[in-house]
Amino acid sequence: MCRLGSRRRLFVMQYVPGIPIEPSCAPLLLQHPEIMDGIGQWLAYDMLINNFDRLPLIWNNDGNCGNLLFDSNGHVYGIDQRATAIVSNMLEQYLERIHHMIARCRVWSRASDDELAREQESHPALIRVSHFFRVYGGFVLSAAQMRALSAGVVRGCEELVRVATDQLLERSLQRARTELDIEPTGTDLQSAHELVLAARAAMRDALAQRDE
Amino acid sequence: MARAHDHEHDHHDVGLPLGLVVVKQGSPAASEEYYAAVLAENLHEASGRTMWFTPRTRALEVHHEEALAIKRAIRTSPFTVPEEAYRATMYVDGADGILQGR
Repeated sequence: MCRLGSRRRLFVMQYVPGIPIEPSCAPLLLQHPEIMDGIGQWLAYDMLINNFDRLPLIWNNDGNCGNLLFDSNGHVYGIDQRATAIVSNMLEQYLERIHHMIARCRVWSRASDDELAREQESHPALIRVSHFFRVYGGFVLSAAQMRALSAGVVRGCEELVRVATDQLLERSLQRARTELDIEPTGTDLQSAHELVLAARAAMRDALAQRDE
Repeated sequence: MARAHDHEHDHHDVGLPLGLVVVKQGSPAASEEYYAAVLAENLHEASGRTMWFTPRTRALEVHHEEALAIKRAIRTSPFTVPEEAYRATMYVDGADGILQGR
């Protein structure tokens, strides 16, 4: 039983008919490159909005396997994402992490098995990601999976830079303000929006270096 | 975990056939979650590709009157609720605790 009528407002979010990463299914499910690629694309979105509560690619935590769901058709869904603003003196460091990660993912997406094996033991991001899949998924991340995941990150960033125009981002901010009935001076949304703008610019710069 | 409430308006209660009900106190992150959902939906539309975020990330905010309407719809026929809300995750502003549904 739940008392809803006395609440001033509520969110209703659509149910995702999926399952999280767990040892009973993950080893088989995540062998499909397109699924690892899809996870990588979600990580690009996470970097854009600084959503740290999923897979710890550039964040120093253990991750949250419950925020990635997979349905019976192999679609990858992210849930509970939120944009998290960063205080100004840490923003530059965050943007540098994005820049570095895109560069590394570009390398990892084409690396050999031996190269990836070395990176998996030495690079903090791959150590965290490998730990995530080992703990929550019950399997050791293979080189092929790392390549697919990395390619998904790069592909996701490319797509974000392409579609996340200033106009689209501004429209999203305005719509969120309007639908939430928040004053235009609301600092939380504005700060999150500024983080997204800066992250998108960092992605664009990193991808541009790729082509130089 | 189900939590019982004592309230004089018991007719406002409804048994929710939900997989999970999440109730957040004050929900300070709600606006940032909503912004992320709106952004994801706009990105999905702009990309025109299913590889991006599906409309499943879309959140629907409703106010008191709509909440009552949703409650009535949930009670009478779950299939009449928009967006299959009968199986939705619901964020209720100003409440506390976590209610685990069926």
